[in-house]
Amino acid sequence: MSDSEVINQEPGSTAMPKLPLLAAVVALGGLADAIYLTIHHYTAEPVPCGEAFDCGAVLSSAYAEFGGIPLAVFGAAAYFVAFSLSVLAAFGNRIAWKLFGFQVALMALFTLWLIYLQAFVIKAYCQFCLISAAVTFTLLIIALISKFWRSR
Amino acid sequence: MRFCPKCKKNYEDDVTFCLEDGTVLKPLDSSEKSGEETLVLPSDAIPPTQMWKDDNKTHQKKSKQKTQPDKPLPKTQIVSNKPASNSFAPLVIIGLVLVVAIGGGWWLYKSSTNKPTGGVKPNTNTTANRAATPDNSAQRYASAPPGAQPPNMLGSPTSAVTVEEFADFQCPTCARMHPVSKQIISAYGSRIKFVFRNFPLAIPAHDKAYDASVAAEAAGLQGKFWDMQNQLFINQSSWSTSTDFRAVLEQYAQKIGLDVEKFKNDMAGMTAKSRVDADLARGRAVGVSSTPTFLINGKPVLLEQMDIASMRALIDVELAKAQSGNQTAPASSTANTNTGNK
Repeated sequence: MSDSEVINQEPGSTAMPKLPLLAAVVALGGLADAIYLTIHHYTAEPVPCGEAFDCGAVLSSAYAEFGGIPLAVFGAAAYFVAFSLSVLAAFGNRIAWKLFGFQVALMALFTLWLIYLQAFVIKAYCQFCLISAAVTFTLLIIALISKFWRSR
Repeated sequence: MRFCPKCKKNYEDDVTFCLEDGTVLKPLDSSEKSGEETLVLPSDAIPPTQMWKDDNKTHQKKSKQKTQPDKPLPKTQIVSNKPASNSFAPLVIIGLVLVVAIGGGWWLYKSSTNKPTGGVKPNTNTTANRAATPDNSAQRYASAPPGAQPPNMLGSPTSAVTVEEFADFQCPTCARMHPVSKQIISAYGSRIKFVFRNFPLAIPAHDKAYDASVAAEAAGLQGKFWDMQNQLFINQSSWSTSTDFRAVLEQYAQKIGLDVEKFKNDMAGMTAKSRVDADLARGRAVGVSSTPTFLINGKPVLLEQMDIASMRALIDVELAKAQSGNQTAPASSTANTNTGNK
């Protein structure tokens, strides 16, 4: 048994060794989305938005910033941390995988709040925010699958 | 011969793990004095073969598989309940992604801000608070309806340079630009004509924007337009999320010294509303589709120019043109209407 084989079994289980890698790839997608929105915020470039959405209303609402910092910056930081933890987990760090699960749970709760704001307060949706929400929930599902699989 | 330090059972040399409990066997002859290489697990320790399984069934199954290795396992495998990532590979990957993310983001940012700024941007369905998009602005500007008369204006009505702002009181970008507008008004005084136009966007997110404009105009009917305008922008996050928006407006009215009853009547009346509608009609005619939109002598200010330095540069160019053509009007320093607190 090689060293790498031992490592790959650690975070999830022998049957699910690829979940941290999958999570890392998904987190990269979220990171790209958040970076795009951050750039949009600072350049004030219009976002290409579908007919069913109103990105401008969402991205320039009072909720688009926290303490003068765009939420997209926090999102980018969160996705980068999720990516880093996934990579560490893929290389055998079991604590990183536990932290990843904890982090994505928090992210999912915050995402629910953001979706609520879009639906009931701003009354408009931004497709890039929904993409970010989808990424977060995908990461949560990966973490849940990992936990479920391990506890079987 | 080997023995199990846990159950003390002896085994042949080719057996590595105890068949009873999975503990790593120790050479019989090395006894206790040579503990430097072998792992002595505490009595409650999880056997190595069970590192990632809590389930007894799985443990037994895996133990069976691993009790007959041809040769002893390397030490790194035995102590693998610690994180096994002792290489720099993950850190290198994380570092690379960080560099690419920051570098790529910076490059995209720079390439966005370095785009040619000679033309107006196309409208990309961002109805709120985004780029000014008047096309053929000179023609439109010349033929557009005049908007509310007299306009909400500061500076000199006869100045050769007119700065016209179309804003929505519920638009965060407009609130952010409010200090810039105030700086421009303060810096240029009577050298320019600064006109504020209401342009409340008709979108659900800006459900209070029209009423806020009406409130500003109602205050203007008592000569306090600029005071109310200031209150609305600096307190935007408060009133725009308030459940009792009208009460908040009345508080502002009281604060700036309005006759609150008259203010309420004017809010309900048509005079203030018709002024807002007139500004809206002008804005639409000149091609405003988003807020804030600034026009300097009818020329739209691009989003990337919406900062104090860029706007001052644009105004200076227009002032220089006016001076060179002997078109500069004498400074009257009197505002047409509503010269309250800026």
